[in-house]
Amino acid sequence: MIVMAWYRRVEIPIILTIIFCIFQVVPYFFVVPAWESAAKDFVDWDAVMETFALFIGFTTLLMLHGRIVAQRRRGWYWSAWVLITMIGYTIVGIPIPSIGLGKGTPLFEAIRLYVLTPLSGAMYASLGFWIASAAYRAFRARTIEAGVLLLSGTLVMLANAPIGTAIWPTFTPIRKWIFDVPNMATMRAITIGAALGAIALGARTLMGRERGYLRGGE
Amino acid sequence: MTEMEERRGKGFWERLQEVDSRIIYLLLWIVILWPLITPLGLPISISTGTREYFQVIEDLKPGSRVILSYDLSFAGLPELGPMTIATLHHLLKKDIKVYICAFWDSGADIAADNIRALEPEKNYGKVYGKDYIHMGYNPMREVGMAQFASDVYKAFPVDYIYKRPLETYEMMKGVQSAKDFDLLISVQSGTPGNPEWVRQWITPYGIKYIIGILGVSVPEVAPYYNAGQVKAFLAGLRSAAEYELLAGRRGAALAQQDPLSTTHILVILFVVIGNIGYFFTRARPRRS
Repeated sequence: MIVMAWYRRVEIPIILTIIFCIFQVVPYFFVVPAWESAAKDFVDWDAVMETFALFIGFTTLLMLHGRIVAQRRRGWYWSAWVLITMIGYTIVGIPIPSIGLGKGTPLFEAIRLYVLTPLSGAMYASLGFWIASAAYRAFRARTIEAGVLLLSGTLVMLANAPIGTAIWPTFTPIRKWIFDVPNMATMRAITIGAALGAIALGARTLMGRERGYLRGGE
Repeated sequence: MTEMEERRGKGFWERLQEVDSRIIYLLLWIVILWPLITPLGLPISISTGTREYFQVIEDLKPGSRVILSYDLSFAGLPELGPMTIATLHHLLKKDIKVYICAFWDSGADIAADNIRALEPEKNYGKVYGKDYIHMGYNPMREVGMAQFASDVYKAFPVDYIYKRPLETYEMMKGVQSAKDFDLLISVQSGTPGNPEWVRQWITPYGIKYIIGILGVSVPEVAPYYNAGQVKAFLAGLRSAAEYELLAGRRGAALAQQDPLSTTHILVILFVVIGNIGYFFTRARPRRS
């Protein structure tokens, strides 16, 4: 018979989760200074753990892409490029200003300003081309609902563009009405639905019934 | 049958629905470049939302403490960059204390670039550490915001520019937690962003809060605005251009208004063409 070590038992993280959840929830409803102070300390602990998580993320990426390169899997050269840029930029960011490394040094700033910034902007801007083509193909008034979507989308676009409001200033109040009435009703429903879901998830976690975050969970 | 032959076999209305993406991209490219080279100079009306955003800053009393959080990435810079610099310009013009921070890694660098571009000492007579400070980047997202609300010095132990402990600066006297600030401004392009600020700062501390967002984020933010949690917001380049006019600093957003008009018109035109084609092919029986 295999006996599991006590520290590997699933009940331990569940109990810890319940304790720390209660610590964060109670100060929201009751004023107990000592309790509040402890809850703040736990937030600081979380900050420390998140820093470790960044390091784990870095090593996981290294292992994942390192394996792809080592096994020469399909598209391995993209993984190699990920490794080169990741390790390269990490080295450039090591804070040793005497040899020109670290944040704020000319090399680091040049990569940030002349590589990272334009590439990020270009990636985002290219979406505009894709959206233009997708809008032309997808915006068809096939049903009444699609027709309403098409009409409201066009009105909002005309209100956003200076040429639209220059032609007819009433596009602006129309856009405001679309955002304030039908859009807000929908968004409120979505937000309230998501909040109810989060409450249910929180209650299940507090009761130890939510185990999805443990070892892949059931 | 080749693609070309297949196209030839289709009627005019069918082909109207299947314009090649490359043609759309090329036309889009032209309508972006053309007004940049020869500006049209279309008039821009100022919306109520932009006026509200401007007025919240304008109504600040002398000595007020304002946080400007750069919660955006380099990718969001083309759309949000103009409003960040216009907001900082507006804040620096006033007799208030500006606390700059970031909860997105690139945000701290963007803020530093804005400070360099505006030169607060030279152009506004401001002193670093006395009138404005760059507190840097906190990587802990929502947890970091909670930490910032309860203890500023835990969230930002040293400043971004000189790496000195924050409490050594003159403008940090009397500052400990969220309660000590008069206004929070966040220019944001995603998560952490609006819901996180509302959860950690607005609901528990009731601090006045205005934001700058991407154009596509308006539907998400509208309920928060209507509930009074967000006092005002700027959305996308159009609002940024209106705000540049109000704040008295003409910048990139105003320059981009003409391409914004031409591209929107082109997209609407293609949507109309596609629908005309669709209605005519629907009305007619299809050829075998």
